[in-house]
Amino acid sequence: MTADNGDTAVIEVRDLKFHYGRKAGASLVLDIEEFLLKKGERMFVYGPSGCGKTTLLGVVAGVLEPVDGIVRILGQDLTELSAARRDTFRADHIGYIFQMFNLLPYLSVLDNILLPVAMSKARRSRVGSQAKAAATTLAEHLGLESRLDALGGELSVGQQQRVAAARALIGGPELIIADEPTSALDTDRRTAFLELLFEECNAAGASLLFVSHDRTLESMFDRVLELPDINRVKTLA
Amino acid sequence: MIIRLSLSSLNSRRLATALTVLSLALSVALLLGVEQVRTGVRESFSNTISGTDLIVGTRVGQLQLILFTVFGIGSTPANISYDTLEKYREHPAVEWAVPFSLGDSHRGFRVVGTTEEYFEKYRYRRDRGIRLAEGTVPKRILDATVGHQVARELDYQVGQKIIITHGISGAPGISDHDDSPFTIVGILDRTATPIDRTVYITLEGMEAIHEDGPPTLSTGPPPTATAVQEPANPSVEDRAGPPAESITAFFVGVKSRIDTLRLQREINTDESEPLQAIIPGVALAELWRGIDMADTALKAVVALVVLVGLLGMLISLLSTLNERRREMAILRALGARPKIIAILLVIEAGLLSVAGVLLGLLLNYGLLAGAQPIVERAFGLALPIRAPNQFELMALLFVIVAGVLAGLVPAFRAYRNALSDGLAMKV
Repeated sequence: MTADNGDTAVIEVRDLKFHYGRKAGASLVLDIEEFLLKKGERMFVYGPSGCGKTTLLGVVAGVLEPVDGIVRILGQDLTELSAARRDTFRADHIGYIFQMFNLLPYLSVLDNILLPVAMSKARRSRVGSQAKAAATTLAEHLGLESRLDALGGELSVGQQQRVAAARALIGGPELIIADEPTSALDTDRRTAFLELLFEECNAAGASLLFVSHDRTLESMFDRVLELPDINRVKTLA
Repeated sequence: MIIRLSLSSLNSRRLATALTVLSLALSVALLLGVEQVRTGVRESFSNTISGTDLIVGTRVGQLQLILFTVFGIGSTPANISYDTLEKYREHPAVEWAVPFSLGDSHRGFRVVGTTEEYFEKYRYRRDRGIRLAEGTVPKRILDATVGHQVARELDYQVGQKIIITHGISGAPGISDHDDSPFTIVGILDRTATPIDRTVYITLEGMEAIHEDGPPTLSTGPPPTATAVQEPANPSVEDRAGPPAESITAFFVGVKSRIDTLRLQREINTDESEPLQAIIPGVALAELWRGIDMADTALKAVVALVVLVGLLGMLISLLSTLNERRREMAILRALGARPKIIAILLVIEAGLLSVAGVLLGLLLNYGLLAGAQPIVERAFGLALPIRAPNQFELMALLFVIVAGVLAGLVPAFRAYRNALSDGLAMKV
């Protein structure tokens, strides 16, 4: 179960090859020799649109199945798991934040935050019987305490992204994946959002994989990686 | 959890959900309504006459005999002799035999000549007897007792005098028996059978109409106008001889049911007069089979209505599918398997169907409770409020099952979308 880089690798991708569809001859989207994210690390992955950022996140999250290679998350090789087991693994260990429209518009903020706890036994057991309290605490930290009963669809974009962060963090998943979560925010709010996100990731001990095509934020991160540098498929860029 | 998600999601699309449920509910209510009317008609139809084992008349065929004796429909056939009735009254197998004479009408309503015994023996809806709302059954020659609907439509009171028309024409006129005004002595309770549309007089009274004069007089030439100014109305017992020369038919009750078939055969083969004895239940069943075709067509229409309701739900679910791809991607990111997303849609379809069926039941029984008295008054059709019968329960179950199956279509599409979209937000 342990990765060869000691127990510190949260993501370990080796010799990854990926293309969409099942046909053997389809053109590759990803061809990555090595990609590592250490425990507690906050990594910024930069890449222009169409370079395979979202695809990489899909592979790491276990939604997309690579053609070849190893995708080890927390020491578990996802390629060895069935699709259903990968879904469970994702529910248990990964918090995901989308670019926008993160919330189910018909659920309250509180219920949106509690969704992962309802879907994953592991995250449920980690928050114990205090799921509501944990959600409320997270919401307070993110400045949402007054909006807990509002419907997801009633919030501003900034508030929605903060709720998404709270949802990703609840139940203490080891890895937070954020797919351009700030692109819908204006510049001031981006920084504020990131600071909150970092704070909560630190508090939970979660590692952060942050993807964006906007480099203005990269200075805030521990490590910056340009996807085109490691992806040997260049034609898309 | 999944059910809660489904409910919240449906709730967020309240209007579309409500309309879908409503259209399903309407088709379910219609389905139940048609079935209730159908069984109600059949029930009241086959229970128009009960307690009578045989109806005996001349040889006109089973259907015609039942039609004119029980339903008052069709032309009146040739009479049979009164002696025949007397003969079978004495028959060891016969418990009672009641004469029944037709041929006249009163403002479009049939006039039946019979005896007091008829009112005692006639049964409808299994064991209900004819009851009087007021007054008495006809006892004297010029007495008439009218059915519920006759009294209501013509606004008749006890004590009023009425004229009986010869023949069955609707309009009063050409051949009114002006000389024999009858007196209404009683009004019958509502039966929701053709009895309500019948005027009853005595056999003697009927004979009197055709004798063209007060019955106690001889059968000589027509009497003068002065003779009929104060027509006598003697009791039928006061009159000597048989009450009538001939009658249209008679109803028979046997002592033991086992004798029915033997007696029927005996009457049918009677050589003194061409007779035909029919068993009302058998004749009614044959008659019903004739009407059953319309019944089947009705059922087919209802089945189509239900199908349209289900299709409406399918369309509504499919049309929301695209805008819900985002929702599906979120659920996928949270670890929901594609299967769960498919199940979500099947559950939604199931919830919609169940809600449709429940609301349909509610609508149906609400309408039934409201319409029952109106239908009974307007059509004389009793629609009992009863628990759904087995066929109806099966139909309701079918609607739910079909609804869930219809949910498989959007579910399958959502499943495929979930696999191909992954975490990409395709909006």
